[in-house]
Amino acid sequence: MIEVKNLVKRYGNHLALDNVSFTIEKGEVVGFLGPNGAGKSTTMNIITGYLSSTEGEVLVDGLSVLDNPEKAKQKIGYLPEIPPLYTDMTVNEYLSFVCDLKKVPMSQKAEMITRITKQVRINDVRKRLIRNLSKGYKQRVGIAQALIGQPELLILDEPTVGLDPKQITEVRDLIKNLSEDHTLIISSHILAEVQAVCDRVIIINRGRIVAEDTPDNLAKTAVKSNKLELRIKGSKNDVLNGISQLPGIKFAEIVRIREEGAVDVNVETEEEADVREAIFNFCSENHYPILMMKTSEVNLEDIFLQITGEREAKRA
Amino acid sequence: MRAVYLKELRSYFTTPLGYVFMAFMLVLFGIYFMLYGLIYQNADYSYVLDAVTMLILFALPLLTMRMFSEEMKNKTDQLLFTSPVKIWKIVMGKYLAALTLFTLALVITMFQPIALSALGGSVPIQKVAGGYIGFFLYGCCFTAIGMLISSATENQLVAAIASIGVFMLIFLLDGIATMLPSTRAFALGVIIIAVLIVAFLIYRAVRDIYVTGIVGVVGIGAAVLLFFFVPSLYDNLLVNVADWCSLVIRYSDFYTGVFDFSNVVFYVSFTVFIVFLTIQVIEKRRWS
Ligand SMILES: Nc1ncnc2c1ncn2[C@@H]1O[C@H](COP(=O)(O)OP(=O)(O)OP(=O)(O)O)[C@@H](O)[C@H]1O
Ligand SMILES: [Mg+2]
Repeated sequence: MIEVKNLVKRYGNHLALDNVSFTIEKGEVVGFLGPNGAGKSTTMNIITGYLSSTEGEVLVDGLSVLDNPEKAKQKIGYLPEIPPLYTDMTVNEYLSFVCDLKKVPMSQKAEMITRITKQVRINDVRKRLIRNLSKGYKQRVGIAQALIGQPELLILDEPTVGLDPKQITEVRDLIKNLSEDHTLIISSHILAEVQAVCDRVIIINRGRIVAEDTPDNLAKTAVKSNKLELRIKGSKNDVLNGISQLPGIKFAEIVRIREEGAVDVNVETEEEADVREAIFNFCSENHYPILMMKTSEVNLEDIFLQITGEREAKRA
Repeated sequence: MRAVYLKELRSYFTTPLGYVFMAFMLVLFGIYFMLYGLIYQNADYSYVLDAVTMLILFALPLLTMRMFSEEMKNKTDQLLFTSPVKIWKIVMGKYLAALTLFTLALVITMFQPIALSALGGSVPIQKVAGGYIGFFLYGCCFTAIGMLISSATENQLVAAIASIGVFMLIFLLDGIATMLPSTRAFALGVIIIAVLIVAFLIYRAVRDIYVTGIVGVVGIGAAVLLFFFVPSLYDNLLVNVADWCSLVIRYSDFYTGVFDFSNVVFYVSFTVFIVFLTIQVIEKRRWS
């Protein structure tokens, strides 16, 4: 469905994309992850034809966005980072304008707007001025806009950014629904967001693709060290020093102090080493009651930080 | 194109800008109409069409300042330029909407000469009709320039102020030219500077030192050769050039009753060229 070949984008002297290539099959749901300034929006803007790349090309269904812009753009629904809303229009007027832009036949317009507003649940605000809508509603109007014209491919740039937790879940559910009958690219720097819906994750950092795999495979391969979370009663330094010196422990740090007289310690162990008994023995010998011990779940957040190298930077 | 046109037209009337523009135009025409028609009892309405030429340049930025600036600021240009509509159609849609407002205001003022003649004044119909045609073409040019400026900045205020500045400069161009020294050597100097500026712009556009060099050398060479072999060409050159490209002097032909078709051609080509430049500026931004 999409072929991105050797994209390079320079803004003046700043290299924003450095030889980015990937392909996305029809029906796939792909997460596009990266920290701020990684080049996610730039890539999306190039795919949708808003920007031109310095080098390389993008094919949508075999059509080049550069040589065949009208046909290629017809296949894409795009929600940019900032939803492109005309705030002095009502939702109805806006969506009707988008229908005209996307050349939806007059006869299908009303039906399409009704169907899409139902789908993204903005039915009740159709007659309101966009300016007066809450952020969550604005975001959904943005998604509605992308759906108009029934594009096969949806590109959503950070669709849940800035929403409250309730809105986030709702928008995520909506995206999950959309993923059933669309090819979908979602960018985000929050991993949970793509973890739930994506078949594949592409991680990008400083304009380069640094990893590309299924969320599960990434979890299996990328994280080599195990992690424990502990809460131990006792003096801060003694506990930390003692635990750090146990065999099999790579790294221990105090995260915070939640309970009076107890410390929360995060422990990273050598691969395949089970240090739980050793910790128990150490604590009981020194009379440090263990209030909590659990293995932390491997989540994409860690993989992400590990791959993009930010954890190292933070520790240093 | 139709969608963008209608949307723009609508937005002129959902924001105060459209109304402010209309009011400005009507008040402006009204004042001069009062002055010439009613107080001086002069039925020659072309005086009014002459008098408003400069002041109208303060009204036109109201129509053009937000054309692209606002879209860029609100990022709504991302919707327009990722939709399956060609860029020139988007530009034309916007331009025609601004022109529609200008024309509408012009049509409303027409009731003044009509009233004059209905009241028994002997309105010189040919002059006034010519004046209106000229005024329309004059407005087409300045609206296009305003649009070009709006496509270059995302700040509406900057667009408005820059437009007024550029309009004034164009308006005063022929006056400025007559104030400059009229010696042949000075004219040659100006031509050389102009060639250098063109060469620089070419360099910015194509980044090819050879092409730039050839243009520069050929241009300056030709200017210098002409200076020695056909020196009479440089007599009053600046004034002549300024007059030739003056948007204002050509307009005066219209309301003084001279209908010269080459003036129409000039205005239309000038407008087309500026609209074309606007499209280029927008295309170029994608590459930067
Ligand atoms: N118009 C521009 N001019 C100059 N540099 C730009 C421009 N747009 C983006 N950049 C730079 O290009 C790089 C990539 O930006 P981009 O917006 O694609 O990042 P992103 O991954 O979308 O980040 P975020 O998570 O903050 O949205 C950044 O370093 C940014 O500063
Ligand atoms: Mg971004």
